[in-house]
Amino acid sequence: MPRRPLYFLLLLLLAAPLWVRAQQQPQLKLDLPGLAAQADQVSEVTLDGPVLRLGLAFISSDATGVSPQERDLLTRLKGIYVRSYEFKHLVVLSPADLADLATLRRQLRGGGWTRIVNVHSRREGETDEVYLRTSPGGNSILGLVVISLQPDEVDLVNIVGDIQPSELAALGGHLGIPSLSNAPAGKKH
Amino acid sequence: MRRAALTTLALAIMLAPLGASSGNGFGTLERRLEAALHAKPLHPHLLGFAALMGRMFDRRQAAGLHLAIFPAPGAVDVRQLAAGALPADWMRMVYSRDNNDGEQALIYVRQRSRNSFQMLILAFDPQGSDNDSGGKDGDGPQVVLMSLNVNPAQLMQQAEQRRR
Repeated sequence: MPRRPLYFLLLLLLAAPLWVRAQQQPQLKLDLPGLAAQADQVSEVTLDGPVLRLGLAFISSDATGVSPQERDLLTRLKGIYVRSYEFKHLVVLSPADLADLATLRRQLRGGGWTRIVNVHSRREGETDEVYLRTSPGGNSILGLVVISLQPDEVDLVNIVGDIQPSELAALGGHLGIPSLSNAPAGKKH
Repeated sequence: MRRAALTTLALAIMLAPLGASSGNGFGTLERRLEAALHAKPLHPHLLGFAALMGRMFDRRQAAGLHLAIFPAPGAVDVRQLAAGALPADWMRMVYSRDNNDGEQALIYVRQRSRNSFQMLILAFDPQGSDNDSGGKDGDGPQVVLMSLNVNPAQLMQQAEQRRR
């Protein structure tokens, strides 16, 4: 067998796991360092692997009021990442902050990501965006991202896991995720 | 015979780091803080004894409780203090910072067994400890390091019992 095609084949076989992993990894880089430096309160929560199992172990008890369906959903999650920046005054996004947000949004273009919610309220000065990454067959949701910009708070949430579309509504109202039951996609105010 | 002994000794020396408990993150971080802050830690008296007594009455009480308090020279960044100090099986779960007064908290978690986790909390208190009147003792800024073992199922059982 000729050598050159063999080398290419070998390279492809070696690189394939990396490519597959890159395609399948819906966890994103969420940090906004500029906002973190300005904010009055910064909170970063990272729950994945054993740490997620610790958090889920706490909610497995009946005492927490979590329904069996919600518990089942939470046990299928692979990661929960939350970044929250709170201000005592109105948030003023600098060009650097806007660039960081643009970088985040660029990660959500293509690669299976779709924006399903884009709500802006001029009166309340609030913008909420929700992105989903679906499996190739569209049967389940592999990742979810929420970008919430409020007058005095910026919240970013990334959830990685196997979520059924019918379960999306159950996530709304938790972990900083807005209610998703009635939100139309791509609607602007 | 001599060759076998030397081989065994060499093997033991090579494998010893693997046997060393990566679970003692408290000790590792304590030494790092001592070096970084140029200060010896204060260990509250009889904390270990109190924890032992507690567990004698209720085995679900948190075990592995260790506490070290360091005086800090001024404002510190707990992330920098902890950076690279802990082995890879420790995972950062929470970081919180108040930019107004500089108060910070870092929580790391490591799985010990199927139902048990070890938790490390590293906190910076810029104002020192509270006295009984609600004021400050003027102890100055402090870095607090705490370790405890957590069994979530047992903790929730305890919480449920107390709720009833």
